[in-house]
Amino acid sequence: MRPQITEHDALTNQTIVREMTDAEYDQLLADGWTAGEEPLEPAPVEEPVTEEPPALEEEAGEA
Amino acid sequence: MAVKTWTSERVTSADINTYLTNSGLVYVSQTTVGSGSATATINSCFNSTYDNYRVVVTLDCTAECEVRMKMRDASGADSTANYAHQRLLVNGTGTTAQRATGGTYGIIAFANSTTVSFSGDVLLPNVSTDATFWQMQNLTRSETIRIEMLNTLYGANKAFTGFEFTLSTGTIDSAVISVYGYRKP
Repeated sequence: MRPQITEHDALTNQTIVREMTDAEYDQLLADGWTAGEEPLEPAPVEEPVTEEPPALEEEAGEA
Repeated sequence: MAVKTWTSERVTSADINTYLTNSGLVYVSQTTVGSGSATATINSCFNSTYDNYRVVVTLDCTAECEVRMKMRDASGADSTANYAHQRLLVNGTGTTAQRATGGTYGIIAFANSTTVSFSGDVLLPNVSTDATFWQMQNLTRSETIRIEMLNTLYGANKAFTGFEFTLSTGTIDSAVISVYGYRKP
């Protein structure tokens, strides 16, 4: 998200907060500004694996 | 102003006015910055009334970062490649030095945590026949004691009327930026 800019004028003692213009934001990026750490994406939820027990082989009886 | 010797128990209004008029360090401006800004600009704080200034900053930010500076005039920020800085960091028994020249901004502090304070002098920012020189020391408030100094130069002769701070990463949580002028004799 584009950051804001705080401007203070020492003559009038006025401070304003505004959105950066395209030119200011382009210059900010050209100077290498980064937004910082992005929120971590939640880890994918693994589906529980249900293993079916192997089918019991019937022991063939000896004839 | 000559040193005054008090000869009476009464301080007159004239005495008070004399001291107010002739104090050594004169308040110029203070700016409070809220959250969400990556840049704080201070305009119209440098003029011919003073040659040299003191800047004091208390900064909380969202990430560890460099604190970058650009000089400003009526045209806005100066992004020409005239900036250079020399850093000295003494941390325990270790020493680190760093230098960069020809940058489009100067570095005046390092936020080694998200809370940092720095202060120092700005020399000759409004004098058109001289370069501008920043001498800053910074203290990361949540770290152990250390010495960190930044000398930052705008290496061309030009008169400026203000400056701006920009973080290399993230945004400001809160900041107070104070500017004082050194009264001329």
